[in-house]
Amino acid sequence: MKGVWNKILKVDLAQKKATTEHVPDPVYEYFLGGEGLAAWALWKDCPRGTTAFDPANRLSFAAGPMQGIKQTGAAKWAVGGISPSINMNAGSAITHAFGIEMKQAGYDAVVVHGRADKPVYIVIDDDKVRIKDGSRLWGKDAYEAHDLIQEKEGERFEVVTTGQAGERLVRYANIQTAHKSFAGRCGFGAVMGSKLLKGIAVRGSQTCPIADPKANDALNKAINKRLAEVNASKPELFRISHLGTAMATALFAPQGNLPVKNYHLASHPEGEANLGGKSYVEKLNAKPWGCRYCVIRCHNKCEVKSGPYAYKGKGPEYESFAMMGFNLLIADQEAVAYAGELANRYSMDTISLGGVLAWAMESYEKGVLTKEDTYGIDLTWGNAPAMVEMVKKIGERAPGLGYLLGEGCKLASERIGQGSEQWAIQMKGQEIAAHNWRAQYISALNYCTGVASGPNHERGNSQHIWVGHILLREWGIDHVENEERWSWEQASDRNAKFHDYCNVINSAVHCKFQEFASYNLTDLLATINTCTGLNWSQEDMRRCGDRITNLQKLLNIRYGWKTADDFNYPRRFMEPVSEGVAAGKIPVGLDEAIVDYYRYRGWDDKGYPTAAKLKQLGMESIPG
Amino acid sequence: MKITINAKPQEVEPGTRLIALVNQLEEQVKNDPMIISLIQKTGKSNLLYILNGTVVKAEDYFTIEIREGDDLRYVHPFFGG
Repeated sequence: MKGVWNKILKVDLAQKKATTEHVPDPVYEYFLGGEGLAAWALWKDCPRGTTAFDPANRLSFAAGPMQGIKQTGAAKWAVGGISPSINMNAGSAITHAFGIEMKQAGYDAVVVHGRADKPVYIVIDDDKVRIKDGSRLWGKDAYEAHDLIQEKEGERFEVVTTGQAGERLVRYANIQTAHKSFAGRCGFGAVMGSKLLKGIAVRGSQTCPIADPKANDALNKAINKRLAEVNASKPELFRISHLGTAMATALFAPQGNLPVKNYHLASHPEGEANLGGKSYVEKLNAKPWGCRYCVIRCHNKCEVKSGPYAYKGKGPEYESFAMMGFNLLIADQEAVAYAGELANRYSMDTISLGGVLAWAMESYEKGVLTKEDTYGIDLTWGNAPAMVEMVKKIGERAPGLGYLLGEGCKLASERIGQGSEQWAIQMKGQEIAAHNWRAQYISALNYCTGVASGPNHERGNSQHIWVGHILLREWGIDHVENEERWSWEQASDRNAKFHDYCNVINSAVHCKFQEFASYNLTDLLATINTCTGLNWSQEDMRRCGDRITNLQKLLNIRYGWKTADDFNYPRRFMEPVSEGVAAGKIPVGLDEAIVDYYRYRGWDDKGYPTAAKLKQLGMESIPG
Repeated sequence: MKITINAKPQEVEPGTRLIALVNQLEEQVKNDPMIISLIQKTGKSNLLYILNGTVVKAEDYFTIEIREGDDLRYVHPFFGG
């Protein structure tokens, strides 16, 4: 198969050894690359009983067939392994250029296992691989460590690092690259920390041959031109290069999709006025900050020039505004942006962090936590300075509450008790992302049944059917009515297709945000075919997604998933809100919808893939 | 004659102009709350029409004649997160 090297780099930190391994074509034909390849690496080498912080955990940094082509969105790449937040296999997407350099260095993935005897970082310069002393990097924040590595190795190297939260095993610690993009969810920064791995630098000089370079080049030019035109043709209010993903707060508010006060309320007018929108550009001085080859440029560089929250750096995304602003009843844009950047430097996922802080604020409101627990910090809803202080305590893992909150709200609530489990808005140990189940029931089904990364909004992004008007037309989802938001009709079909779609796109690997500028399944298929030469049909591509979903499910089972995990969802979503378009809407019938979904997928009523289903997918045995 | 609209094969009469399809599609989405909100904010739906891979300017809707095999898609102006 073209578009891949058939080769992964395996780094054993305990033995201080790097080796390459040949990966046969059928592995790619089944699982493509990226997240699919990361899942395959676990399947092959990471036995039952392995936990996230076990040296045997395989942490994969994986590219796909698309890395190296000059197409908008093709800078994305994937991280995978066993997650400390959900204690199962998971994946997380990240962008900028590390994946491209890794591919150009001659590897489809770098798979790290073992635990170093002292802090290290890995340098990959084509076929030269060194494991270097990282002692002087330990204790540095993610950006500082990034800059020190580049200073030492050269600016041409693309670098990933984790900050102090990763070192201190915060269960939602992330991995950053280029001060701008993050493998945010699932705590892979903590997996790096557990291996005493502070960073990886990579530089490559090779071009991976693709099947039809001429056709691919023409396709890339046409897609890049069209998407740039679409983006430029949108009104300023909806132009992502202008407002970043933060624009979504204004779009989601009228749909009842925002998380407000730990998912307790329907709206937060002060937040709607201040978080995102025009003030994002005016107050935060947002400027587009694109990834390699991207014509959409949704990332932003921001600057708060003065005051307690002065900073210059990454601008907050929608999820950060939603979870650390709306969800905490905080409307101070500069404070949320500053706290987000603090989290970035420590390496903490702002979705989980917002969920954890909301749990702590509700606990404080109910008297379960007091100032004695909070270092004297007044953790009342809406208190922005308190939120910022608490972010520091968690990032530092300060003894007491700071440490406990670094475990995530599930473990924290189990430790504190007093009924606080009821307002820990999490599933399987991971805090729920910022899409409200009451606004579209399919979000509930997605979060409950997700196999790729627990309750994740980007591993099955079916909420976008309504909140972003994204349809999978080539796969038969070509029209929906607004009222269907609150129906289970066709939910299994739609949910399954979006899970499979996300698995294809996260394995190819490509950026899902291109969808909003007209990127579609026809574009995706043509790109995969010109890269790989597989000559797939839409049906073949769907089958690939189905295979990856089933592999992830088999891994879930291997690492301890039980049927009850899918049904143990936060009961808060069964409490209606009283205002807005979602007033009175709760996903009644969710349990039955989960079972329907299992059946639709060809799984048994307990959610286990049947032998017939695996046979249908040719997965009686896994290739490689 | 056969064309595709949003990846779905459709039959249209020869001589059909783009404006007719635009009107038909705008009618289909007019009750969408986000479209309603957008019309309130900007005075129009802001749907974008892409014919054979090229974004069509609104002033050209009236003059473009649909041809056999044309591929028409529309894109909402929204963004997710």
